[in-house]
Amino acid sequence: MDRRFFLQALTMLGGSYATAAIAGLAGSSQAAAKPLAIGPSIDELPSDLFSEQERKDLSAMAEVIIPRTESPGAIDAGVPKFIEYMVQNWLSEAEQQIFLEGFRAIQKYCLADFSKSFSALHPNQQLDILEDLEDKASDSPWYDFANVQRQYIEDAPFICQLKELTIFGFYSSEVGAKQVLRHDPMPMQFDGEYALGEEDSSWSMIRTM
Amino acid sequence: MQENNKKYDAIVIGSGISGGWAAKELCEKGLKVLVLERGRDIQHGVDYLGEHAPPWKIPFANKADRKRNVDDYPIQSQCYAFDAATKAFFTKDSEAPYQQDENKPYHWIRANGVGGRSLIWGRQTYRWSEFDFKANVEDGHGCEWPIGYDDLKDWYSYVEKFVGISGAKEGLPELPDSEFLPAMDMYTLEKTIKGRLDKYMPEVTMTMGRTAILTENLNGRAACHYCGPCPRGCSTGSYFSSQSSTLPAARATGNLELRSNSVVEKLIYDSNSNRVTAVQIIDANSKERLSFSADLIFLCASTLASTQILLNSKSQQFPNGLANSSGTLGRYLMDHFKMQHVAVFADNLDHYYKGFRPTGTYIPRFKNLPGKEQTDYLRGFGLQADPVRPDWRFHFNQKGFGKSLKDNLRKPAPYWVWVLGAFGECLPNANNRVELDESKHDEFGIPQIKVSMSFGANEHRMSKDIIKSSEKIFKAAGAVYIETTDTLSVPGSAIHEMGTARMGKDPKTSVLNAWNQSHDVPNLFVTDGACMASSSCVNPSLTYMAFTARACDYAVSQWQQGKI
Ligand SMILES: Cc1cc2nc3c(=O)[nH]c(=O)nc-3n(C[C@H](O)[C@H](O)[C@H](O)COP(=O)(O)OP(=O)(O)OC[C@H]3O[C@@H](n4cnc5c(N)ncnc54)[C@H](O)[C@@H]3O)c2cc1C
Ligand code: SF4
Repeated sequence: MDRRFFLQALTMLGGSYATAAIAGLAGSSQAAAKPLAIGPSIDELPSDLFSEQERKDLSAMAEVIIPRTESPGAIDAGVPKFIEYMVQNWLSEAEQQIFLEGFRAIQKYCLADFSKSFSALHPNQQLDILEDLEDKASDSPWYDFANVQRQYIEDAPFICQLKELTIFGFYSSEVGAKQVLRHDPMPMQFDGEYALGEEDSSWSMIRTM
Repeated sequence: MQENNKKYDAIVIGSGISGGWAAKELCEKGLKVLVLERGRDIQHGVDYLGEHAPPWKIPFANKADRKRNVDDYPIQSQCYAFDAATKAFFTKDSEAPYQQDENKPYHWIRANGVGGRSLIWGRQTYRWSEFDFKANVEDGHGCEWPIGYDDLKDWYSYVEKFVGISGAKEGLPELPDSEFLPAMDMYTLEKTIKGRLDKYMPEVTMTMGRTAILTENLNGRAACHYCGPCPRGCSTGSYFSSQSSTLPAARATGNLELRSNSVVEKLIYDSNSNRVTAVQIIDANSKERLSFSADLIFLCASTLASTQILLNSKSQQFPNGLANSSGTLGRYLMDHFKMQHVAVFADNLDHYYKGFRPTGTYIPRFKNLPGKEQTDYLRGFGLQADPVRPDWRFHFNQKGFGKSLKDNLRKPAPYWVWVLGAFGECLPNANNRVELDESKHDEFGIPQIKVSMSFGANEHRMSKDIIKSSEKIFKAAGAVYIETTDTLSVPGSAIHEMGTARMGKDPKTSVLNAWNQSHDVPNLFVTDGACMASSSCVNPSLTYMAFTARACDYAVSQWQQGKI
């Protein structure tokens, strides 16, 4: 991993030709294939990995990472459901194990030390717990400048997995795209000199190919 | 085998960029045409399943479906245009195997379906120049081209007016102007860079990418609405594809019959008449063998697939593949080598953009040309350039929680990245080749191809100069940080594969004559990338279109005169 890798990866996400998964869209079974645009949203896909209590705790964690402020937060955007779906369906077995172990360790710790579930703790306590995890994980290559999703870091610690899934779920969600980023699906024009104000957000979908 | 009694005037094999053009031209000239396409039918608009899907509808938030990609698309998934919303257009590697030389990986990127790769291509369209057509004879690599720029010039104009190409006139002999629709706008950063290059590197021209995308309505196709990800399909027909452009024109004549799921296995040759008398297919659904006949055969299945069909069409007369009396069939495979370099810019940070411009800018070849710098290698390279303003996807792994994290991720990064993608010309070399591997068959029992290709000393010498030149351009342009790489792309992955049934003057050293017609078998034409005798450094598809239209014109006049 190096910065070159990071910069190279830009080419995958950014520009057009020169630079540069399907649950519902199975290429082979044409009959069953539906346009993605009328399919389910990423927070509507069913999963049954977690108990109600676990869901509460997971939601609280996602909300610590991306809280509701003057704009909506992770829970408003359906991020907890996205995370559960991804942990169940997208992570490899080994990655899933890291996630579940990390997640359950926090739950145990909260019950042992505070006699409360994570979700019942004061937001400051919740933040302390996650910050503590991040401190311990800080030498993970997940934090390298080079990590730009081109390769998922397979042995990333739980806290990194949690942040990555929360952030991807949030900024890809309808709420995140429209209310936190700016969403402009039919621009009808290209203006290369369009001004950027200091408080302006990115476009929700910067992918030309 | 079942023979089809209906006789056509012409059969076109493949419905991609070349086949679509052949179908249109032949139908418009009044011929009854059958197009045989191995892949599934893909209807314009209706089957563009990923089009306009917002980010929240894209499976796994468009993080790569690692497991399925490894199983089904190990090679295709490495293509920049491959993602959750485009992958239905790509051929599953697991279903269409080919062999690679153990030590020489080759990426064969394919979209086997109606429309071929016209649905996912990058739409960059550049004319070849007189220097390109003269290169072989001047430096002695490859055979002499049987035609020159002047023979193709009017055909370029002819196809361009139909395709619709946005771009800017520059008056450069090394990159002749096309018939243009208005060029798209540049980003402020690009204007800044262009201004600096004009001043500090006047030998370099930076122009808007010449792109088969409409900036004005044309023939019932709408001007681009700048939604961005073209390879998901474009139901407004704003970019050129077989679906949006050539096939509807062919269909409108009433002369077109298109048969999808029809895998051409071989061409049947009759030595008495010295003609291809039938095209044998396997129906991909029923697995039944059928044959069709016509007077004219246009092979447009794409470079490697067309040559596979010829190699597999053996007869007493042609034991090593049809139209192969020269022994050159399968040889002289070329692909551009690609290199990518990036630099960071701190200019114009208060400028952004509105609309997702589906093209970049282009810096045409500026070495080894009259009046330009001469180097220690032959031929040259061009640069395709893109600006990127990084967003949250590049910074998601920062430390922190809560409001400040959320706010940081929301905003564009405080820098621009400008990416230079170099495409270098590849010399024709007899050892770069495709053969049949008779020991390996696909699900239809057709022998697989085995590709063996690597870049040579000239390409490697050129790559060193590409790095140096890119650094020089970045510096002149005002970059604050530069990162170059010395890796050349895996052969095939520039997706500009050319050669293997080259045109030439001499039937002893080439497969096709000046009209894309087989030297050996007069009713056989090959008009896709297989025909190329050299590779230039510009994207090739526009040239395939011009060759195809020109060959159709010639073939039909010969046919009408009873000469074929
Ligand atoms: C991501 C990407 C970006 C690209 N960008 C550019 C660009 O910017 N500019 C440029 O000039 N080029 C570009 N290209 C290359 C361009 O797509 C090809 O050069 C072009 O499509 C070739 O046209 P073709 O008709 O020869 O082949 P294709 O378009 O590939 O069509 C061939 C057709 O033949 C069919 N076929 C194959 N075998 C058989 C058989 N045995 N029987 C029946 N049918 C068969 C296939 O299914 C397919 O439909 C790009 C390609 C890709 C994939
Ligand atoms: S950017 Fe333009 S050409 Fe590309 S898909 Fe959108 S409308 Fe079509």
